[in-house]
Amino acid sequence: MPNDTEVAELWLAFKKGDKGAFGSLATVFYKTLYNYGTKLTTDYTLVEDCIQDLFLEMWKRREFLGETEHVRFYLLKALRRKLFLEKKTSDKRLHQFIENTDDIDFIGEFSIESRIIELETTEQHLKKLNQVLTQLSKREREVIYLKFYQELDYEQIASLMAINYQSARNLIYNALKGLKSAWQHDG
Amino acid sequence: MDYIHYSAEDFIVDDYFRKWVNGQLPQEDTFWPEWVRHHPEKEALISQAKFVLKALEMKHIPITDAKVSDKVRQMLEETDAQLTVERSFWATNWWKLAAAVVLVLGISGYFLNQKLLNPTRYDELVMAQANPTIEKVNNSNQPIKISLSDGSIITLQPKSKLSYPETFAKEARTVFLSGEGFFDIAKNPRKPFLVYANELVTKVLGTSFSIRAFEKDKDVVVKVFTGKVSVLSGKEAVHTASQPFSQTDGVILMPNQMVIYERTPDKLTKTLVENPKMIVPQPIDSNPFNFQNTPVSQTFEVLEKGYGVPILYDEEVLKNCTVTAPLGSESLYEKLDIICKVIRATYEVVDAQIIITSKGCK
Repeated sequence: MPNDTEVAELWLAFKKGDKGAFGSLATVFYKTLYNYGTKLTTDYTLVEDCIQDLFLEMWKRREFLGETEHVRFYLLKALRRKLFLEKKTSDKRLHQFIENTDDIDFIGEFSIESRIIELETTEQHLKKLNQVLTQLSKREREVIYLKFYQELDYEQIASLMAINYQSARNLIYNALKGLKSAWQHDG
Repeated sequence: MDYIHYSAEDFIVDDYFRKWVNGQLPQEDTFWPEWVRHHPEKEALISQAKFVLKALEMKHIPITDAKVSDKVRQMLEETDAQLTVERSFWATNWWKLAAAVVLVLGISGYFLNQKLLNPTRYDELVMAQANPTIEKVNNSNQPIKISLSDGSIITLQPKSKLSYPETFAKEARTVFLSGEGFFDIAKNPRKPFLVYANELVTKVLGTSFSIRAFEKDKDVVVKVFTGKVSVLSGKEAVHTASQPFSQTDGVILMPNQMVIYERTPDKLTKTLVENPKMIVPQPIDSNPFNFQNTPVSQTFEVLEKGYGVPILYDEEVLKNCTVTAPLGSESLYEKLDIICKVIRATYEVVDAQIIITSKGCK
């Protein structure tokens, strides 16, 4: 992964019509976008198609795009929006009489199995932890994902999920508080 | 930075702390080990924060590097195509020309003596092609199979014609049909498959469907077997010709749905095919349609999933209804007949959906 300055340089070159830079940006961010997209829908082909469309639209509109130092944030937000619009049209088609949801559901799940050894903890402890993890709401899971996997700041998370700064922060702190209690449970 | 008053949560969201726990700091950075050593009273807090960070592991859907580079290559190819389109007026506008021909003929057809001129839309469309085309005519009384260069297979019925370019254009695979054909299209989301059949344009990304469009018939029918297609009438096609690849245009058809285009008046109707087929293959050892005291909502869910057909009903009214019926190989409509009898309901097909009407169960 190139650092922020390198990404910003790629972005500038891409805006000037440098196709090599465009290809590099796509390569650098494809996995990131795929990772997020597949946590918003189980239709993985749709995720691929949306990423493809997203980059092609960017190329078409490159001269009109702003200069940004937050390329990752820009791309994640655009993908989320795209997937949401797709969901909305397909919901409408399948359930014309059912009210539209006004947001997309985060379906990513936690999996502590792979880190059980590192956690050095007891059976009962893990049970409690698993319980807390499954009880997290979709929004709590999404803020945690965006904060710890995508390393976005609160302001970006708030903008991406269309909530305010304080809500984003509260969602994270509440979720962490629950997790912390799992650790305290049996001391 | 003063970390003395930090809670476990504060540590967890701190980027610097997180980098240390994840082993992302350079070896010479010994800030955290030293800080912990100088603040033994914070040890519990720190282990708590570490524990939570490690517990935040998520499941990820893997994707290979090879696939990513393949996808990026496709994008670059497509931007090449965009460049050529921007440069060449004809490459952008032959669509409009072809579609305009449909419209003009559609109008003139009403005013001119059809027998005298007999203008076939198919012939006009084919003539408007700039590139060399191949034409297959089925004059036999058996269907014939045609394999295209992209791997698609078309079954052409008697008295039908199909035209297609020797090599497909870069941006789309376009063919022209007069008569009836069954299309089994090789999947290629970046290069849509378009069938021009009289007044209708059918656009697909990879699927199987049939089209019936005889010049003499009063309607044109498109039926979908698998996948998703969108159907536009000639008039809509004129408006969208400059962007022929948007998936949202026209009427979207899902499996087991069909569209009927009536020539007079110019009207598109979406409905279900006569005998909907199961869209998901059934495992041999289990029969999802063996209902034993099953809540009716669950019964309908099984049918919706199996046949891909939305079923609408009033949940409140039907909440006490259960179904006991060992169903299996019956057709969708036979199953619905039986279920509706059990719950004293009736059903109708409206806009390719099934609507259940019932007074409910005790």
